[in-house]
Amino acid sequence: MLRYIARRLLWAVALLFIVTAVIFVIFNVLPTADPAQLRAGRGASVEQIEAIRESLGLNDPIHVRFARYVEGVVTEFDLGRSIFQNNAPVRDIIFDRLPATIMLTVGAAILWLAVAIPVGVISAVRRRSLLDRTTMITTLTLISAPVFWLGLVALYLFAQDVGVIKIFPGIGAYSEADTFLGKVGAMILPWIVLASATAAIYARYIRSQMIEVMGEDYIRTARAKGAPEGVVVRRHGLRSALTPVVTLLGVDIGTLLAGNAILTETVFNIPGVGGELASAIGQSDYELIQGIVLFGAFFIVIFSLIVDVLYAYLDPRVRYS
Amino acid sequence: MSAPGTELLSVSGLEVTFRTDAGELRAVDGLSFDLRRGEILGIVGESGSGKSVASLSILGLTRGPDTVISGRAEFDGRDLIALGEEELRELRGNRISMIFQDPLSSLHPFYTIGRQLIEAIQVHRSARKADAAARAVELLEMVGIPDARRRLDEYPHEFSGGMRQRAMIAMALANEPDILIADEPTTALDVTTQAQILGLIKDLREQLGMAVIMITHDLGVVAEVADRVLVMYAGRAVESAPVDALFYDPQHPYTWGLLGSVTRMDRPRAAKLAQIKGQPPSPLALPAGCKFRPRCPHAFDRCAVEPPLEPRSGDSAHADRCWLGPDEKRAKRVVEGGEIGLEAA
Amino acid sequence: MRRHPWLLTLLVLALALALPACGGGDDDEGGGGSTGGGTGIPEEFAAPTAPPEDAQPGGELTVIAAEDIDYMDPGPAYYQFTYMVTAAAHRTLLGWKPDDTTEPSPDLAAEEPEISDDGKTITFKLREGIRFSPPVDREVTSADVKYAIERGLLPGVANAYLPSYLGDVVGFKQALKQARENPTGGAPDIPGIQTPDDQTLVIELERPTAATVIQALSLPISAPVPEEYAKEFDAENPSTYGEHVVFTGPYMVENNAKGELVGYKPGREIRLVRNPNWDPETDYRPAYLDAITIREGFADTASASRRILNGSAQVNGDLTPPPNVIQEAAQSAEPGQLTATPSGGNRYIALNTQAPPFDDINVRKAVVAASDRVALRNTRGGELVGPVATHYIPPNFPGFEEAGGVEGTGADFLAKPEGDIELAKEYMRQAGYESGMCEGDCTVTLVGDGASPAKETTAVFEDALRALGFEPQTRGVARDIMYTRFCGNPKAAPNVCPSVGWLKDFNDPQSMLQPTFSGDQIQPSNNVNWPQLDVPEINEAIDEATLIADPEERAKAWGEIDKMITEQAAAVPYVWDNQVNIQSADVAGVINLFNANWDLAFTSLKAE
Repeated sequence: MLRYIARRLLWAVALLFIVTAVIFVIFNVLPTADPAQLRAGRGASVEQIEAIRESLGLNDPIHVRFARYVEGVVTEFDLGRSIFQNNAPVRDIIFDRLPATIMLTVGAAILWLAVAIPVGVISAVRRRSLLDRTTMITTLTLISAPVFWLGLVALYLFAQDVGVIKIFPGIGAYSEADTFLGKVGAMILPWIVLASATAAIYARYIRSQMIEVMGEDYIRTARAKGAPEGVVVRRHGLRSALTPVVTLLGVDIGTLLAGNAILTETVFNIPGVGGELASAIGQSDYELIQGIVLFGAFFIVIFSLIVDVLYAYLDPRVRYS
Repeated sequence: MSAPGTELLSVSGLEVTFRTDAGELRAVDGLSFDLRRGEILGIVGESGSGKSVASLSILGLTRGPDTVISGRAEFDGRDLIALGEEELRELRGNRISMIFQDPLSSLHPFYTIGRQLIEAIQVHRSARKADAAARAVELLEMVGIPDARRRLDEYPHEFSGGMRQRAMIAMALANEPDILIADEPTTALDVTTQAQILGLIKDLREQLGMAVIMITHDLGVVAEVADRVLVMYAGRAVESAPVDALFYDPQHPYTWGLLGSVTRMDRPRAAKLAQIKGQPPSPLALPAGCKFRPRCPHAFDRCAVEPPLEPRSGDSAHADRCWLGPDEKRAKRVVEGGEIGLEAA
Repeated sequence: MRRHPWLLTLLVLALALALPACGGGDDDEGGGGSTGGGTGIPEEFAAPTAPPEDAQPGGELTVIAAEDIDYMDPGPAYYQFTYMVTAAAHRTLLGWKPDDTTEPSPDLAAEEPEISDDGKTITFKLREGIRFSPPVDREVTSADVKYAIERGLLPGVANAYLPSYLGDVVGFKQALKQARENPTGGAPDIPGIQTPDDQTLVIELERPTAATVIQALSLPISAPVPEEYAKEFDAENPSTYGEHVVFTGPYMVENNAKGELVGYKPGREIRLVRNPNWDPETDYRPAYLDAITIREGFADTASASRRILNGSAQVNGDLTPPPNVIQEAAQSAEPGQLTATPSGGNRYIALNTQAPPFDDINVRKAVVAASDRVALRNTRGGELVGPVATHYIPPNFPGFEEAGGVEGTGADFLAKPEGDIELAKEYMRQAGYESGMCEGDCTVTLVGDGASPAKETTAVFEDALRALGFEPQTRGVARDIMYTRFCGNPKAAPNVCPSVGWLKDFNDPQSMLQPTFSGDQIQPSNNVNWPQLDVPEINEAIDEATLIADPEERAKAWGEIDKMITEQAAAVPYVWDNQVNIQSADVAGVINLFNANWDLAFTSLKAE
């Protein structure tokens, strides 16, 4: 088990280095615009741009710049500075945005699991019942609904500021809330919006997993033992059906923390990593985009590591292979 | 408890129908048999003959919205077919246990052997975990698993095939059942292990006095352990006989075919004996009359009507479903080198 | 202004309004506005430039914004939305009162600056009793202004407009060179900026360009910076003074005892509170509000706009309501909730004058004449988006009337806003195309912004090209790429850059015309003279006009230059931008005409 983790850890480090290199090349060797020129602004003279380029070290050879970047990342987790936004350090911007993204992601994950597991299981157990069919149609609709659209619909229906039925806090409520409880309130609509599509995907996935598992021989064994149906479904069926869901969940949480909640955060103006990425892209703030992408890669690699280890814990067969 | 020698389980007119997208599928049709205390009944047939479905249906394991089960299965004065799910559940793994073909897939991969054994115990009796664990060790020792206490904490994939099946048997015997249904228990095992497991089942039968239904496609297995045999074809019994009578005086051409394809370790196979031709009929499109008719080289006009299962050879314990007279049968079955087959080349 | 959000956010959003023409068709309004002051803005949407007489002190206002300001540091600050903050929190030598359109008013300066007879010396007298916000607290001196300007040359501050407008200050270029060679060695001394006493600032010029110098000193660069406090931050590159700014205006960003701006969370929030060291006796700003919170990140402008319109105590910051919301608001909002203001910007389709076929002035005139500028403007929205442009200096601007006002310069090819195909063909014939249509190789390359609404504008222009037999080959790319790779790079410039436009730096026509049409300003990269117009007479006229100090003469001279440029048909001007601003019903907002946005120091909340 320890060797297994060590091997995965080593691989993760190697992967991160490769990812850093690739991202650096994308943003520095193949730039779509010149960061010095972006900083200089319109109408700046060629000399002004050149002075800024020199002072930012952009004239150094690429390997020197890469070494400097890696050194900064490794020693101080220095991801550079935003071209705009008051020259703020990218690291500080990300850390400032992370709590909101974590709260959004974790809350949504709890919500979508809380919905998807019972729905998926019941649909699988009561396959082809009216409930199953209704659920499957609903989930299909939710999966095809764009998050941005869903978010706006939710706002115009239920938000206190622009909604018809003024129940939940609306756009920007997260920033305005001073208390944790207030922030939770502000997160209700975003949680629902972010969780809905994923809940639908998970419900379908859990359903199909569950149908497959419930046809396994060991389920028949459990029944032959005389185990009550509830025990058979939960202890024997669900346990197996949920194990692959862990992989899915790890990837989804990793990518959401990496900024994949971009649309939800944008619609609800939640000051998270995704919203920041959207605005950085809108402003062509390359240094910031690069930092967020790299940071996101960290998250995804780390979460896939966690998933691997967790999987080994959950499925004893993996441990010994 | 009924007296020794009397029927422990009496199945009559069992019918199992599955509703599928392709239509109604009658897997078991009018199956009747008795099982006596302490007896080993072999049920033989090809895959799809309904032998597994029949036994699973008796335990209610095929129940579902798309299954129709009718007939009777009397056990201990109760009709298992009509029994409610909860009452049936109390019998399962307790009075009637079952083991399966592939012990690896039949054991839950995520739980230790010990945990699965303890569950089998605790489902039916309120035992403290420590007591259940002690009982589990006892059971593993009984089925011949060495170092049982340590192996309790191991997972199924850490066991060898034979050891897994032993563990399955231990689990099935946890509550000292009256009946053990063994569904192809040795098919997935190598020959040596196969013999050990069959020996174990026989020993345990002696030791515990339980009855066994041994479901198999392999007449060799039947010859090894069974007291009586039921040959199934297309969802029905085509021949029912004490084991010796079946081997020495088989009545149904299908049985002849099965005997012809038997692999016996003690002598080389007779080269001239042919396999049964063709495929078993689809349960969705069964032929009229005798179900074996399309594959039978001896079929004649009368076979258009399905013969009932009744004694025809003079032995009241030996019944079959073939219109041929006893003499015709003796003449037509091929006897060569002490072997019986379907026809001569 | 600085950084392309000027291009990206401001103009795109400001002009992305697709307003239906209010009340009737587009028949007669093509020539521009018909109401007040030649701005083309209907009376009911005219911007309020004074607070109501019964304006109430107190209350808190929320500004709803999509993006952040560019820099909190007044040195590099160069963005319209940032000016909204700096105007309320800083006192520059000169400032813009809400209704100032031609000249700024003395603010930190006690009176109008004195210009010597030779036009080469400017003397400012500073007001007394103006103090920095905590933790600096001391009184402002002329040395603080001198330092503020000088530090702007440091690469770590990198003010973008100083070299353009203060380049004639004695010793400026030397100081700039010094700052570049030693970026962390402290602000370089500019010998031409002198402080004979604490209240006097003297600026010596090599050429008499006082007019632009004075206007440039109305921008945040002249907000005083205390050297003894700021120099440790300026020793870093980039400077971290932006995280520690001290203020002189009625408001300040909330900070702690060390001066760290705890009230500024980049990209999220700016919290402005009253500056305890501000003395109302010294200021023309009434500063009614107790506090202002700027909330950023409202990327969906529709829902953000509805929030403002339906909500309480809110105004828009950098965001502009989308067309459908404006349409709703025009009908259902309370009077005054929706306003439009000329923003001092224009949009045009630049024709590359250095390459065939548009090196021929007659071909250019033909294409301009063939263009339906009403349709071009309408791709951006209807009437409220701004009047159809007939030249380049925008309304409410010195030189606008002198160049011909809304009616235009008299150029025949711009006389009909819907286009004049017969005239166009006539010009084609003059260019040597007998049929009035292009013959031979008629391929014309265009590189435009590939996003809406710019791509729709491009498509309308393609029709004009086709009408004259040209074969347009269009590439739609991202805005950045359009500028850096194509339109701003003369070597790679296409025949047509259909998605360009310019916003003033301040209300002086030089800032509209010099960078964009002077042949001396063409740069090998980051070029903004997109037509690459290089006409010696125009270049000379521009050089002369930069030296005129008298406002009237100046306006007249630049008006003439505008006419000369227009006559060159180097571009198709099609709109003078308006900025649409919105407020909650309980806000008594005041628009600053200079910045075309809310003036936070004049805005108040209505009584309950």
